[in-house]
Amino acid sequence: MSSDSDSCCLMISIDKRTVFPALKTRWMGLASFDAHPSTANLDALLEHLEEVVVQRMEDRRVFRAVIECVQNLERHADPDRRAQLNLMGRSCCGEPRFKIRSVNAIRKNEIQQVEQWIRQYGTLQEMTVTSMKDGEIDWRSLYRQCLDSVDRTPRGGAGLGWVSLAKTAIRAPHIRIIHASDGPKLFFSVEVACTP
Amino acid sequence: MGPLHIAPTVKTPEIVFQAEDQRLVLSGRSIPENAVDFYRPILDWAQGIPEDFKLTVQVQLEYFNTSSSKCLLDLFKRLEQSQSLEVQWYFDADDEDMLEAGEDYDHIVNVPFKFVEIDPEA
Repeated sequence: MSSDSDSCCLMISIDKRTVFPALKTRWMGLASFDAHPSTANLDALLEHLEEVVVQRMEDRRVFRAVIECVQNLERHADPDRRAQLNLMGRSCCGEPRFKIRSVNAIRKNEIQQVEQWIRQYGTLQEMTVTSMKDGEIDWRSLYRQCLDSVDRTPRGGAGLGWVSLAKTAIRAPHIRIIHASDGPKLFFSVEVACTP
Repeated sequence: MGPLHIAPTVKTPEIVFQAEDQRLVLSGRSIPENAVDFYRPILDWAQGIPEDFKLTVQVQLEYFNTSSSKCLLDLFKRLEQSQSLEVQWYFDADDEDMLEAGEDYDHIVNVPFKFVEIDPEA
């Protein structure tokens, strides 16, 4: 294991089998990443995950979620501290389900901003409850509102990524700040199924 | 109106304006970390299109990230002024999410959308 200051160390563990093993009903690890979230490391991760997800599955929904999660790390993680991302799979009533989970350190000067994003995200969730559609939260309407809003970050997203993930996820992504001994971290988890 | 050709990369689409058939084609994947920077020259190019210019925009993207989705909306809104514009939105027959993405733009902008289904087996 490298020290936290070794930014060259990249740890990606991938299930290299040419077909997915029969997914069990409990979560199985398919790929994991533990490294500094530099652009080069995250590009390598995305390339490996594409190999795992796309080349063995025709469905694109899961890889779209992977792209957003990896790019969230690229945009928001503290580049000087290691970040983790895990891709897991399981079978639910015979259908494959996937979970993408990431943990990344937050820069000290961005903690308030991240807390504000989480509060906004909570507000969005509450808003959608008031626009229930067929008993389900209408994330698509909310997505359209966010897409058409004038707000945007310098890099373009305006928080649209979380809503975009929520739109296609099994349930709303779980996002929270963990106050770890080595500083605050953002925990993110989303569960995705293939296109019905 | 000047020519436009942006070569594809692993993270950015190929963008070509074909003057002979008045067609702007975006193809490949659009997942740049900084989509605003990438799309700036395309938006600048679109600024110079005369209102009476007949233009077809073909969108043949397999993946695009959310920051690109905002930039695509900016492009469609900029082109909204054109009196004779059509967006042809390509999607694989089994890619419901890409179809929905096109429908979302169709809902937001005042531009005619034509949805073109691609047979992934073809």
